[in-house]
Amino acid sequence: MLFVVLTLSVEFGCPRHACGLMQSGSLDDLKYSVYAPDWTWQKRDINILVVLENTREESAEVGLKLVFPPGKEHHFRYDGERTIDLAVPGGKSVRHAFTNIVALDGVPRQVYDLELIVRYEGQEARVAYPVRTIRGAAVSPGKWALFLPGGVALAWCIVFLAVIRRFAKAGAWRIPAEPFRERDMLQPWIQAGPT
Amino acid sequence: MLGTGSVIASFYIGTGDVSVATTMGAQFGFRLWWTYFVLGIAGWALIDMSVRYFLRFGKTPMSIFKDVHPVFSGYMFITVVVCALFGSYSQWNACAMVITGFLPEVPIELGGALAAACGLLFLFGGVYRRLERVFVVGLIALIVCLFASALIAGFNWKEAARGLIPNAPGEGWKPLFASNAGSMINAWLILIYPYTMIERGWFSGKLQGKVNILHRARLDYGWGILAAGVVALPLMAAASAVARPFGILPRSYMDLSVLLEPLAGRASTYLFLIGLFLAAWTAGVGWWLCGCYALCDLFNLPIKMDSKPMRTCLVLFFIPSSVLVVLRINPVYQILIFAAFLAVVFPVIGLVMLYRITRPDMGYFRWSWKNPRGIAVALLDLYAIALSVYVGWAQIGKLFVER
Repeated sequence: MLFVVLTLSVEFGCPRHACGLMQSGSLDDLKYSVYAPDWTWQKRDINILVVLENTREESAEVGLKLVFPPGKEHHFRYDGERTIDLAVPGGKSVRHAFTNIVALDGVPRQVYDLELIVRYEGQEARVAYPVRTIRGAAVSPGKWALFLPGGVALAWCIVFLAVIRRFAKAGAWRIPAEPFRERDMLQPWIQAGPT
Repeated sequence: MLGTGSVIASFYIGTGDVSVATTMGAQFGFRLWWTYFVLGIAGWALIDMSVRYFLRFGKTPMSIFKDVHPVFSGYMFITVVVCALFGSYSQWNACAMVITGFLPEVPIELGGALAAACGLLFLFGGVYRRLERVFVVGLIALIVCLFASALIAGFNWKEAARGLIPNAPGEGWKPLFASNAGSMINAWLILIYPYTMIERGWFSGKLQGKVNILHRARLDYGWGILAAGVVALPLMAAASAVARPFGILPRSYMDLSVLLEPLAGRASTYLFLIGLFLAAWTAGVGWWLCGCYALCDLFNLPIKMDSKPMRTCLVLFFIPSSVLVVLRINPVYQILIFAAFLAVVFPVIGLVMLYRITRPDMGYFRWSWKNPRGIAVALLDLYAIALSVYVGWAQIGKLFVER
């Protein structure tokens, strides 16, 4: 039932693409598609995947460039190459990913207009990539990601203790439970003898 | 038949399993698949302990600890509350990520609270049989979703088969093995099975009846553990196909779903996300259920889903576990730490249980040091304890020092 409800709600109630950005185009014999999330948490990384398909028989040299919004480059941390040249064999497709682009915190949350440029045989296509940032984790990864929820859980032990004791007999926590009794109507396989 | 096995499977197949399997797949393809089965054997031996104790004395798992010394009641109380809260919160967090992935306008906190509220309403129904049925359907559905998603993305069966042979695939495999150990050798799994036996009336005063139950129960929880390994396969396949070629380590479930789309299409992404949601939701419900059973057991309250103390405990778990979603901690990172944390608390539980199960008063159900089978399973338990000590204390300590 749950599965059916989920499937139907996903099919009829969701955006066309789970990834957010899915833009395709072509430059002569070269087809390109770009896949990326259109929103991210601050302090989390984005991966942009580019699929290049060469429909002619000869190999094609393709250039890709990732452009951050001017003046806001420092809002991101990215250690990879921003410009890359790829050889796409004839009739084949090649995938390239710009990975681990981190949207930093400490700046207002906003929509950033990133751009991806595809260059092929003197032509270029610009793929606009707006990405929205939302609030990221309240604590940094590391010990606080464990200690904070762990601390809340420890404090909640007091609430549990206060409430459960109302139902229990005094000193029940020290005394082993009464043995479970066999039910009157046992299932036949339990009573079966060796065959 | 496989109803409770599916409840057991829900514990294994939560965000922990998903995180570990996708990270393994992204780094090493299928080469660490064998870890699920090696660790599963240890997990199986541990569940066997609590079942044997229950069949021998008709007493619930917490009585093991009270029998040995009441001080363990305090230890278990804190451990149960902290772990069940942390464990369920991680699952609601993952559910929220999936909901937000589909509908970015829905705040994460609202998505998490809705998933948790559905779990609460479902358990408030108080019908154990229905819970089993839903979990069986849920498990089948998530296996179908994840396998379908992986098959669309591309599945190398030969490489997967090679992953069953134990091997060390290269630098970085040990921490993953450690996290998987924390996930598979899970104290709650050891405890929950007898509670489900009580709900189903699986108990007999006669030895033959007890032996019949033990044999069937072994198959049942064997299936539950096996399911974790089965589900890990499509997760590894998906990560191996879409993330590994780019050297991407999925740090959020959405990473993988985004990468799936260009390779396998929209259907694959949706199937993956639905499978993930089902895995997280059933695991969240499972964490609450076991936490409530264990707390009722600690205070000698009725082990019944429709009892008032049980429902009160459920509400007490619901409040903080859904509120904590506000922290928005990355569930992939968090669950890896939590798996290590479980390993920290496990050694005490494992040692107490081993001590109790090897006592002469266990009779037919004793793990005796005097026969080879008893020695074998006791050694498996000691292996699990040693592994947990290493994972929990050495690995988690190292992680904190590095941070």
